[in-house]
Amino acid sequence: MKTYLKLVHLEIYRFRLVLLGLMAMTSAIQLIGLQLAMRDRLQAIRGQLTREGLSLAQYAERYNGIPLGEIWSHRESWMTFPIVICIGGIGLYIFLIWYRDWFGRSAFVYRLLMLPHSRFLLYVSKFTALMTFVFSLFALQIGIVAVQMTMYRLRMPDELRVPRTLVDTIRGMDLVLFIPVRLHEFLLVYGFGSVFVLLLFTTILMERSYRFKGLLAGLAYTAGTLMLVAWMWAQAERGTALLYPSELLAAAIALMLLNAALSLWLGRWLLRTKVAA
Amino acid sequence: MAGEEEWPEAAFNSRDPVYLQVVKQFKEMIATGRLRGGQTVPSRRELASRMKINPNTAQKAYKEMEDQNLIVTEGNSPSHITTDADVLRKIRSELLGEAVEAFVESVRRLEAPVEELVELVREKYGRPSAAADNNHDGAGGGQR
Amino acid sequence: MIEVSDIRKRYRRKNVLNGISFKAEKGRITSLIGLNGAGKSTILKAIMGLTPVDGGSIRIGGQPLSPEIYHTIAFVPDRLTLPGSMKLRDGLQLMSDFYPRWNAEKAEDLMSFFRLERGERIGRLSKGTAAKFNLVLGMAQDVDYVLMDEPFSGIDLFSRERIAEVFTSQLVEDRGVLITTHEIGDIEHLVDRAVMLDQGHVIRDFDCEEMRSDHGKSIIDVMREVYRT
Repeated sequence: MKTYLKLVHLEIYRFRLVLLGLMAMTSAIQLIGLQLAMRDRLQAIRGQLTREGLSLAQYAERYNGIPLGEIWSHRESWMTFPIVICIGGIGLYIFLIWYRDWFGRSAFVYRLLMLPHSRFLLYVSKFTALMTFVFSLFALQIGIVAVQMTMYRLRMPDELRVPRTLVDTIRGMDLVLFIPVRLHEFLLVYGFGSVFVLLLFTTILMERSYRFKGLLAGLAYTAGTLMLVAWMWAQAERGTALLYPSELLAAAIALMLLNAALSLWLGRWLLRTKVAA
Repeated sequence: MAGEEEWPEAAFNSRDPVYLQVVKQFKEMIATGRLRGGQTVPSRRELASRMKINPNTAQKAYKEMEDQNLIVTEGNSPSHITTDADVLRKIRSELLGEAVEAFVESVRRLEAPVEELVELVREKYGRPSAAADNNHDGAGGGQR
Repeated sequence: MIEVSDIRKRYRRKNVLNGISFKAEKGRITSLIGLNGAGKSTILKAIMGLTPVDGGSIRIGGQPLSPEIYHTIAFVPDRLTLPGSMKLRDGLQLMSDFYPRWNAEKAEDLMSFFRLERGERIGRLSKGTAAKFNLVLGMAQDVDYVLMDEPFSGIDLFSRERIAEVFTSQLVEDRGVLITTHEIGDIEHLVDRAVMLDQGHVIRDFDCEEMRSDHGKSIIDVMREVYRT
């Protein structure tokens, strides 16, 4: 257990600068973006007020208030761009977290594989570290929305403000996919995400063990699984299948759990007997 | 015990067993009086690092010297050079004998008359620096 | 004892190891000698479980490979295996964090013997200094066997001499040392046993002192016989 935690710490430590960079970039762009969006919006409204000779109260009566989520309509990319970069960065690091050990100037993988502990710990600790990165960014995003709500409260005139809870704000901002607000959504999105990461991890180890053939097999398997799940999803949406949506969901969950188990088992075996430094 | 500076930085030749070369070094030190009868010898470990040899080789050299009764180990006390005057005397004659044999071997090929050789030896041997050089060079190589 | 018996390996359609067998005993320095590409490094990596073999068996102290084996055997590869961004100090910390058999005192001695600076970055070390630090990482573990891959390769004369001195110290006493080299010169009179390889085969395997006393041949003499033809 102690070794596991030390390994997780090591992995987090090695990614800390990139992670902090991503966090800083996300906060900066999203907060500055909101500032600019509010400025534009308020300017537009003030222009309209002078043109039409309305007071703020009259305007509010006619058009209703402007909730936080709506302000973004013109500058939505300021909100989504950092998220895309973070997803891309983490996605890339799924591979780099392994390959940097092999292809770095120092063959750190020698050291890691020679640790007098089960090599499976490497797998688990890299996975833990990666999920830690994901959830740190996730938590940061919630924090940023909270800060944005404060900015909104300070900047928007009372008449135009639509008070909402954090959860409603997140829903209103199209962030639901990244910040699922209901527990089962959360579990589904991140559960499926984790299994996907496990599949990729094992694919990487297949590549490290059997080179190109392993890579092909791993990628084919991962793609196949994804397609199967997507198909099940589509069936559930259309409601045309033999199974009820809830049954399809259960089947998809079972499939993913099976895949998780398979990936872990295969990854462990590859690390123990097949991987070449 | 001989001081550290008295231990020659051994230049081993690569064709004679290293442990025998070590034994020979000891013999030379005894013959020249740098090691005296009864004097304690360094531990195996110390010897290895002083002469820059593998500790196994040091061990083997001591074993050989024990077999030849050059050093004596009693109980747990450190090993020391034998006090047996007979053995000590023999070392000197053995070394001299070996050196002369090697010398004769190489000179015989030139078919020089003995008188000329003796004359030359007398002349060369008189010069102290040359003598020391010869002695040093001969330390490793002259045995075979 | 490290027992390698009949190991075979194919890599990229080439036979790298064709049934290699030899033993490296505890308390002795065994050297794997061969020209470049003879399979020396592959053998060490196979012993350490860093590369799978296609056949044969490897036993260390009678045990097959397992994570527990790494408590009894250390490997000094031909390059430093710590991230270059680390300082030497961090590297030592990492070793003591993960290796229960890490001996901080020995590490301390070796660091001062090699005059290494803890504050330096691993990525900035010269080749000779890196080799020395690499040796610290391997030698400061309290293990029965130490494997070294070309510790003298490509470094300056004085670093080589300094490193060779390690083999005359108590650090190798009672340990089995297995060292690969293609230039035996630096350690010729330190090696107990020589195993000569050519194209994935063991072609000579002898006790060096016996070779000298029975045949009057140095290791280099035997190498000439073997590799010149």
